[in-house]
Amino acid sequence: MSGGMLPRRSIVILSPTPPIPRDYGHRNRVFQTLAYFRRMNFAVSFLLYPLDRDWATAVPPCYGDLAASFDYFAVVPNSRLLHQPARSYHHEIDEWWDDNIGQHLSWLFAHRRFDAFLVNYTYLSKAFEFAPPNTVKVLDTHDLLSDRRELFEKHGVPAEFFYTNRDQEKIGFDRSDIVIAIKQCEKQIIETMTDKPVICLPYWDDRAVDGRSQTAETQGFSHARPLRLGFIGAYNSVNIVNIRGFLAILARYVSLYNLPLEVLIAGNVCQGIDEDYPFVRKVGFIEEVADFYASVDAIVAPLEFSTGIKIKTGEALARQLPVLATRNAFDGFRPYHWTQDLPSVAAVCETIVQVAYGEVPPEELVIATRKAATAAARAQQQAFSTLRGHLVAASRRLLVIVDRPFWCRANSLDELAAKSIEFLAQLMPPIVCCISEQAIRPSKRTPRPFTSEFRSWTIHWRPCSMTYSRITT
Amino acid sequence: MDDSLAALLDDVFANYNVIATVIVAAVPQSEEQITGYLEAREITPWWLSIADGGADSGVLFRSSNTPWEPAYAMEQTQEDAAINIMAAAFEQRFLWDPR
Repeated sequence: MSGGMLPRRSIVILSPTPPIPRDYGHRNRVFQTLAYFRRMNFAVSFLLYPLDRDWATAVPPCYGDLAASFDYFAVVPNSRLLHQPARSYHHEIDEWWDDNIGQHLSWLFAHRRFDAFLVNYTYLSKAFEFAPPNTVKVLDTHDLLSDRRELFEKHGVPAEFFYTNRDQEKIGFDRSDIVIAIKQCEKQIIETMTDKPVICLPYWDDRAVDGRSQTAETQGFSHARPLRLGFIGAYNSVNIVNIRGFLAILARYVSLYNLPLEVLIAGNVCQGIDEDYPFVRKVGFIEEVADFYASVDAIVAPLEFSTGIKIKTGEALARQLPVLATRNAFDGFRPYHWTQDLPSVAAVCETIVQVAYGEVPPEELVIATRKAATAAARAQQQAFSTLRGHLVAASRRLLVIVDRPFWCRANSLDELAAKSIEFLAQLMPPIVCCISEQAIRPSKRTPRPFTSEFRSWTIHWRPCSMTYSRITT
Repeated sequence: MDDSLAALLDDVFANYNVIATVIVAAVPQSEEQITGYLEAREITPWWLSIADGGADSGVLFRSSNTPWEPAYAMEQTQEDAAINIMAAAFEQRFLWDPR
């Protein structure tokens, strides 16, 4: 990690969703990578091209917090309709591109230097074309975008969001230097589509809290104290179709077994559930997910089909909350118990019956949850370590050590050193360290303005007996 | 100097892929001191030496393979010539990947 003498490395992040408030899964993912670069002591700038509904008609209250959170923060106004369906069968990879983003990036890269550029979602990958050659380009895919239409149609759901084909998605991957996949199976698919290095960075929640398990403390449930299961989700076809199908099947189990059960459903997905069931409580959008997780005994993830990783699964594991999940919903996390790897929605319902009547030892669920959480946290750390290695390898620099404060332009030697360094900068960005036996105090001799002489270079020095300075392009 | 330079180099090499190190020195003693320090850390630098006496005294650009027998040396007043030599040397040495 960078210490005190070198200026901080810098990164600009382009995203269609802000990292706060952390009320949606994709925002949590943006927060995860942002938090990583902050831990690495990067100076972080953020460019938001808002696609979320709460930004469609107004500037949300979080704007002030966002603006104060970054070295540079800007919202690129949309100049086109959002969330448009494909003009043909699939979206072209740049079909959602907005030239407003390009104009802002052109200005930004002309005025600021960035060591790295992180773009969220492959449909914004055209942004990489605006980055200087020596800026490391990192693509966080969030989700595979090819074959989505086919997946949705297979389950009788109209395609939504962005759906493309492999040829188009490959174009996006190839624009980057490093591709981040959100789960291992997507990493393997992406590696067949591009020669770029692909890192698997699974979602993990930094808000892990001390473990607690009401399930472990409860020896079976009763109608006085029913098993409380939680489901949280945004308003989208995947969540709506899956939860409606699940509730319809579960209703039969509840009736047949007289189950002591309450299902709490949170999030905007509630707006897509028309049916009412006596065992279901729709709480709608919630500001603070912690309260929701604290109010349930376990999370149920009954997804028969989906894309990407289930952030809600990660959130629950981080809180040591058991997850009763289909194989699809747990994909991307390592299962340690059969309740985390159920083959169907019917199997999920059978499992709920067993848990409600205490037929599954609570200790098993606790241990499996803890193991899955530990594995997920470890996977994240390993991915961060790999990402760091790739970032360093891609950050090619010249190290130039000079023995005089040449920027003072005191004599022709200084001019010569300055021109030499300027030449080297044409080849590759230099890190210039000035080592002098004497303190360099700018007040003794006012140097000519550096920025005009060296374009966007910056220089830092400490007035001490040994002075180290750095210039970078 | 040692502690400060060590910390600085640790920072640089931990965070960047340094493909070449160049010393631009006007004072021979400081060049030797820095060189010794770098070589102790198994960092082989190149030297761009700016001799005392002003630009008229010339520029030496030396390969680390022949530290005291300049591989690329010149006695010119034209800085452009020095820069051309540097470019040739770098291309020969590193086969630039101009990414």
